[in-house]
Amino acid sequence: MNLRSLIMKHMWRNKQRVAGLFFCLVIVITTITTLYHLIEGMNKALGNTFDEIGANLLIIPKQDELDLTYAHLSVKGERVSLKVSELAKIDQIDYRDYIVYVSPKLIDQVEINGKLAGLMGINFENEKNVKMMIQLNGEYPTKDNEIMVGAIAAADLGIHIGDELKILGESFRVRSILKKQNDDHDHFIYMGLAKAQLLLNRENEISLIEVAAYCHLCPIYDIANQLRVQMTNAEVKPFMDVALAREETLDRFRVFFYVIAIILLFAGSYLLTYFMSAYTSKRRQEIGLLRTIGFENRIIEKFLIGEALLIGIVGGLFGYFLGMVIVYFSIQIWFHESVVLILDVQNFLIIFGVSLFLMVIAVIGPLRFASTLDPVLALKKL
Amino acid sequence: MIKVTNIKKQFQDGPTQIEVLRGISLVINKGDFISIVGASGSGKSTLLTIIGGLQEPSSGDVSFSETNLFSLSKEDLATFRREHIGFVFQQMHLIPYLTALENVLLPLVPLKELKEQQNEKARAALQKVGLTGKENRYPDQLSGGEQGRVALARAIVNKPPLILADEPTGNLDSETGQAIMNLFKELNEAGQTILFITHHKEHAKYGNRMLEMRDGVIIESR
Repeated sequence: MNLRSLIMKHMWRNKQRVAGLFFCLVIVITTITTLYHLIEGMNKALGNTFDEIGANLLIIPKQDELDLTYAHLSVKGERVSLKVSELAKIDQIDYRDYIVYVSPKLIDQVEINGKLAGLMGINFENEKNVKMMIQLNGEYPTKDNEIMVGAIAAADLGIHIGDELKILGESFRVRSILKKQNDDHDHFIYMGLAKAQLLLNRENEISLIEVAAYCHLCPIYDIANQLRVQMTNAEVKPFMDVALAREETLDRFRVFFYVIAIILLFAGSYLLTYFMSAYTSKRRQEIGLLRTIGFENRIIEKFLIGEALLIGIVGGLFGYFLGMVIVYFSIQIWFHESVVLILDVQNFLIIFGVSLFLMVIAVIGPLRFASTLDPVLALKKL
Repeated sequence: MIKVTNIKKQFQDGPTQIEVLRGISLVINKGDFISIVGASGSGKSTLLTIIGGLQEPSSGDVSFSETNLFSLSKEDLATFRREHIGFVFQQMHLIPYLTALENVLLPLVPLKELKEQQNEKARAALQKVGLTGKENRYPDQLSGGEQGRVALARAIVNKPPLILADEPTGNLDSETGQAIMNLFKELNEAGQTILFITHHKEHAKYGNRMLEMRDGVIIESR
């Protein structure tokens, strides 16, 4: 028999008391795991949503007075545009590494079947990445003679996927129709940027550039300032209102989590210490006997710490697992896309460490009790 | 040889100081079988726990050969107890969640011995007290006498030079008590030094020396 088997036998024999400690710990760890992962999952989901919104910087020509709008830019009236060569300047800013996608667009107005419609030349590959949340029926166009049509534009023109459409004398096949977005995207006909430039006889021109920076706490104002320095004839608009709102929301969630976590840690630590002390106090005769027959204090300390850590290890693992199960089902049932399930070894290790830490705190009192216990008095109590 | 020199022990009870032991000196030789008798409160148990290093005297010394017990640190004193002294108590103090064998194994836990070696020692101790075949029984499955034997086996498993027993037959009927005393006698005949407290005059006669205590002093030694 060794100390480990003595610990196991003791815990098995006192399973009700051990179960009390275990469940107290599991409640704390499960709650912390659940809250932490829901909030961080929400954080990530919000981050993803923000990234899906697409560009967080818009570069437009100065002096624009047009009235068909797309992203605050009008396309009717005097046509002011940027040169394609402006694109190269984006690559010259210090923070160029933050920039993930650059999406130039040419916007104009064309007459189709006697009706006016907005036409936009875009790079479909870029759009796919920048605007991941946009859903469409059909496929993204891959050929020059293929187009994608906004929901309202398609309804106005009475066109469907597979239809042929004549634009400025050229025939195009409708490859896809955007699902209704309830924004500017609904009103446009989209074709390849190079094709649009040719068709509109506006080669080397672009109407605006959407820039997506990697925006998890990215220095969006600094990026905008650096672009302004490089592109003197352009106006650079960061979409910071969205970013700020996101940060504020996340900050509130985090504060909420930390407050709950601190309360839980204190309450849990108090309860565990209380139960552990009560449990050890009931074992005074046993500890007294062990000291009498020659167990040194350090061995009794190992005995008590071993028990506490075993509860901490099992409770930590079980609490984390249970918390993750709750997070998983909460996402499935209530949160859906608004929370992302995060499986991260570092988070696990931190929460597991908290579990062990709580048990170490809880065992401090019992250790002091055991080391100062008078074995003569302890044995008299039996 | 164990030498007890001028042991005094006082306790503070509120404003009153109680003198439990008032200068006890004693020499215990190897192979002695000493009984201590006396009325309750005469200081027998206090003397036993001081000789066992479980509590410090207010003054005086206890030395085992060359070792002065109370010059040792707490940790060293615990080790010394484990190696030199076996304890048997009136209430046996068996751990209820351990079998008879495991209870006997307890003093061996701090030693880093092989499991087989430990088991061999514990089985030998149980055999010595006549409990072969009952190794796997829990204390509540054993009679009072059997529990006493397990406690005795636990005290001798480390082969300590001295066994201290505080009323080992106090909770047993006379027949079982006598059986336990016979076991002590057998151990003593095999060379074991034993110091025991008893209230039974008959049991006291088992010893080759008898000390009678009253009011914290040894009034008679024969």
